[in-house]
Amino acid sequence: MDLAQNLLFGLQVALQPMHLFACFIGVFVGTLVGVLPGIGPVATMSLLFPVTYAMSPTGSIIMMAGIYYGAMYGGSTTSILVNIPGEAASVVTCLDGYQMARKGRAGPALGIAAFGSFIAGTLSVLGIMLLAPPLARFALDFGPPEIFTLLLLGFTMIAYLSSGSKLKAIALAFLGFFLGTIGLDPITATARFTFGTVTLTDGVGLVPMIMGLFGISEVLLNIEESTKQEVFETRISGLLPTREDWKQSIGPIGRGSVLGFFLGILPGIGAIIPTFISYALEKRISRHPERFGTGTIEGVAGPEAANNAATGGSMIPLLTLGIAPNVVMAVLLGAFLVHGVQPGPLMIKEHPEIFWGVVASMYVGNAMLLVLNLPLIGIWVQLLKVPYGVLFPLILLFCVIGVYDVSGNSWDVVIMLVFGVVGYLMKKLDYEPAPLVLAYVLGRLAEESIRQSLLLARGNLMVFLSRPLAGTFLVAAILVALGPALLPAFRRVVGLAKSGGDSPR
Amino acid sequence: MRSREIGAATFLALVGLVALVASTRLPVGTVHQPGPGFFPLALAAGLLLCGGALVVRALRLEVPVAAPPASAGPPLRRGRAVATLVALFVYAFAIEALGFTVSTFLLLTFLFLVVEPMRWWIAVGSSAFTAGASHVVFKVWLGVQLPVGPWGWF
Repeated sequence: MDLAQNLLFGLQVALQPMHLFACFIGVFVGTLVGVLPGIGPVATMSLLFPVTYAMSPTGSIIMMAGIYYGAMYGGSTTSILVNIPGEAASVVTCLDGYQMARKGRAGPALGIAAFGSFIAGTLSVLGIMLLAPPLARFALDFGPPEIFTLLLLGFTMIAYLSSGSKLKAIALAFLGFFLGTIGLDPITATARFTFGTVTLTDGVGLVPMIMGLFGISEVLLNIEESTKQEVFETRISGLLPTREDWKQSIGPIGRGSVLGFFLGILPGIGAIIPTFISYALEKRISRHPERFGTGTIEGVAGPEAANNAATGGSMIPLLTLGIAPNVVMAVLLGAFLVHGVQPGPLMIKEHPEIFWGVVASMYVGNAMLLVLNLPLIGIWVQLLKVPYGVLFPLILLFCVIGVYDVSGNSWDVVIMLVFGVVGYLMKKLDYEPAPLVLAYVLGRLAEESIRQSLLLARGNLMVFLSRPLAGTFLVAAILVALGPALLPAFRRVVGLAKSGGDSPR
Repeated sequence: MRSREIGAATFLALVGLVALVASTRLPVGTVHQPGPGFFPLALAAGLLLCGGALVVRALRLEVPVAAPPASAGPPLRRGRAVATLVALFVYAFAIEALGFTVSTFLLLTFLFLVVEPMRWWIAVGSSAFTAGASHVVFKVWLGVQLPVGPWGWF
């Protein structure tokens, strides 16, 4: 009953004309950047960051969230028609989606990607509604020690799950944390590493950093590559999947949704890993695994559902604990903070209109996306034909305007360009920028919570172990951190015990 | 590849070292009562350690005996990325002096002509249109505080 009432309240908020408009702009822009390879949701969300200043907090978050899940819809179009992922989480869709297009089944591939995303998106919204309130009530007992140890657990998981070298991820997390300490000290307000400049007193700006690392660097990488994208020229017909298509896809969509949602909640996972796991799962349980990679619809339906469900799942830690599990959520956290709203356990109580409004807007947004992506597919296909030489100067221009608007300081543009160079070099040298940004965003909260904990406990370090929840998080963090080192030793011990037990006496 | 790995790791270690020295100039405090310099110092030490470990790991990478095979992909046009970057840095400094609209027109003309060659009149026309349109949309319509330059109105 409560749930229905809350949803009704959320719908009242989401259906206000301004919020409907914000939702439409979000999903429209999201689809646009999803379709266009070379610019992802993170760069776009930071690009539109300044636009949200003039909006209400609810409208801003509705728009930002719309960009994220909208990009998941749009990304599949490029994967299917061009064989280039429009968005990183659509890499797997290329495998079977493009093969389907080559066989003249681009329509059903696009159709099932959109319907699968819609079903998964809707299920994940339902998941948020059911899980977030009890989790937030549980998190109300969190004090600074619990927050610090939970952040520590999050960071160790991010390092553990990072796609490349763990050591590089840890080094970048240290660097991100350090960059976060630039500016005024949170407890004593002492200026740290500002070199006497006004620009750095407030710290390194999140917007120039993200736009540089993700936006500028992507443009630089794209313009030095001389590949030309060719849109698969075929008449797109029969967008509505047949009964047979549905029969084959409904299982993968259901499994992809559940998998994506729960994996999305975990820190460091994001929307990409669930798509790979979903694809692998479908291939393993399929009666015809040999068909995967040749244009089977299950290979499109599962991963597309998984990436959309993961976007919903990743909202849970942000909305209930105030902790961003991935970079996109870090930008969203920034948007909350800019509007003076602290996401976390108290948000549902203090700002119910934001929480339920955003959740309900995701229902509305998913319906809008279905319309945007099916009947209007032709527009997006035309857009893919715009040469990158025309697009990239405009993307760069938007980056500059976006950064300039935040502070009115051209030094921030220089900071963005410096981070652009850093991001470009990082991608060339196999350094993932995500740990750096996450550590930067959460670093301040981590430092604040550990220092508050020590102030409250009068310097007693045992405060992190003596409180049951904090102790549990700390032990879990240590286990995750030492896991890779301990696991082989553990296996050896178990192996020895087994061989000892099996050996004849 | 090996030398690039060593270079990147050394750079990270050096950043850690500089950060470590800079952190010691702040009041550090104790573990039980950390001051403003405590966390920066610990983080810089962590960065220095990780950077050092990455250098050691990169040094252990095997040196390729023969020249690496040419990559199968198309050749990179690195000059375009460098030209774009230089133009953007110049733009960042020129924007206050020349104003948003004029400097944007110059930047776009450069990018359209040099980085992605097109006929000069198309490049100049598109740049003038885009600079003018962004002036109207961002400055007039959305009220973004963009620099005006010496001409006072654009």
